[in-house]
Amino acid sequence: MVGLSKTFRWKKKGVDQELLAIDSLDLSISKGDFVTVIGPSGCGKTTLLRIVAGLIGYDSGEVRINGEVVTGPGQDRAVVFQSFGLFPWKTVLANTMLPLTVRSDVSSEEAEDSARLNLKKVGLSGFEDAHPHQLSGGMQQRVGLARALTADPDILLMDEPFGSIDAQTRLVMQEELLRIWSETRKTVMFVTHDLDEAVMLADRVAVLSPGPGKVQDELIVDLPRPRWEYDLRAHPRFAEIRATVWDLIRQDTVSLPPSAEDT
Amino acid sequence: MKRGSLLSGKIWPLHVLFAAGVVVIWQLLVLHAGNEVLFPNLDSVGAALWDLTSSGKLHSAMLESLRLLFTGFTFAFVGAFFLGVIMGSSKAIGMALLPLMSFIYCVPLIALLPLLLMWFGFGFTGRMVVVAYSSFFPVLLNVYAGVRETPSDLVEVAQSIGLTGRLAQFRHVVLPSSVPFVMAGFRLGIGRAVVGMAIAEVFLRLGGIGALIVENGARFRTAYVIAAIVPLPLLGIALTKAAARFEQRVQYWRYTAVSE
Repeated sequence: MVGLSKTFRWKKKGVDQELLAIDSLDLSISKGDFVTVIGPSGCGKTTLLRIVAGLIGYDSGEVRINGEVVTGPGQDRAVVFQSFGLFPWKTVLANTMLPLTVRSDVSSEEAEDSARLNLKKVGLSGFEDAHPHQLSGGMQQRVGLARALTADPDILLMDEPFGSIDAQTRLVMQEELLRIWSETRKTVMFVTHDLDEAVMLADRVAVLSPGPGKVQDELIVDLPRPRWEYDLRAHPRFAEIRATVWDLIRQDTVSLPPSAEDT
Repeated sequence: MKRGSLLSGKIWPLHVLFAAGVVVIWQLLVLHAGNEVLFPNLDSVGAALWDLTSSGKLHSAMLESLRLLFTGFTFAFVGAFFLGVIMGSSKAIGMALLPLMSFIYCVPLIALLPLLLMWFGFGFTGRMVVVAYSSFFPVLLNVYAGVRETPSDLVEVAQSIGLTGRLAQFRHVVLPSSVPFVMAGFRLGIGRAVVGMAIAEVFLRLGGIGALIVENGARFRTAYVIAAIVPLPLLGIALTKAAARFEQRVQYWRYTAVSE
């Protein structure tokens, strides 16, 4: 593997004929990095993630992973969706196995072993035969995470995965994600609109500007890891970075209404 | 499930009470009219039912009717399923065919009978077509709706794990997610098939239960007519209930998901 870095570069992403969702956005993520992408709603952060996932195309520019141009979904990436995206008619185990079941080069025993292992990792041992609707939102997203891990991708793409989960469960899951990440060292691109979440998880925070999305600034989060071993929020550096990111976002949010009123 | 059994448990005595009321009113009519041809005593209806059963006439008529019912319905279900899937999968085909389908759906079966009779004759084929016609559209429209309302987020999940072909997506997402719709179509369709069956057996060549009704009616044996009619709605209800039961079993995940 020569290409240890991925470079995302593209220009002009048109959605709905006229709307420019992402404009000349540059972002590169190195292997093993945990990068959060934050920005006000409508800044195109989810669009960005879906492009990287290969779920939607783009108009110009290039998305490269390990030097190869992305043309569609691939086994090197797995997505954790905000809406969980579990199949209600499948059991937890079958849902988790699915990325491997559909592959012809993986035996069903291997798939099942891997799925059970990952369910254990996310703390869902014993729920293999349950159906998604029997689980709470937090548990459903654990299944979503276990499924993504079972696909064993190089890159985890997470689209506001904890956005619809209650605040307390979210804290627990953020910590668990950090643990799992520290064990697996996958490259993570994590889209969120939660400031605290963005800072506490990431090696680097990419702040997108609204309107046509652009990377407004990138901040290195140099907080020591493992971060679950101390009170992260009490760390002065956390407050500093959080304030910087908030300044960036607030400028965007505040600068919007006057221009809207002018027209 | 729980709510359903609770409900039927409460309603059960009401059913009995209501049925008893109907029996009383009927017997009053019998007394008042004093005419066995207009209002036969329930005794004689019972006797007729016993006669039809013990002579094996009801049995063989029922078998003939059921054969017609199931052949017709099978053709309708299979055909409607495939057409529904095609219409649901391709927006262009769906839009193109829907007005035509709605048009045919709205033509009353009775009005279409002379045409069907001329095209397909009044043999088994013709009668089967009548049954198939009457049950085709509930299945078609439900399958169509089911395929069209495939949850797009699950399609996206399928894509993200490499199921990019339409056939693979159909197998893993479209088909399982439309099961509730298909089952609803099955349930509605089979109920209508019973109606179609009765019409076919009365208006085309006589046969099965329909023949029992018409032949006895022609001889003014009203008790026998009623005795022959009773199995029809019972058959319809039984089939619909069985379909509903099966429906619940197949899609229990949805039922439990919807309730609270």
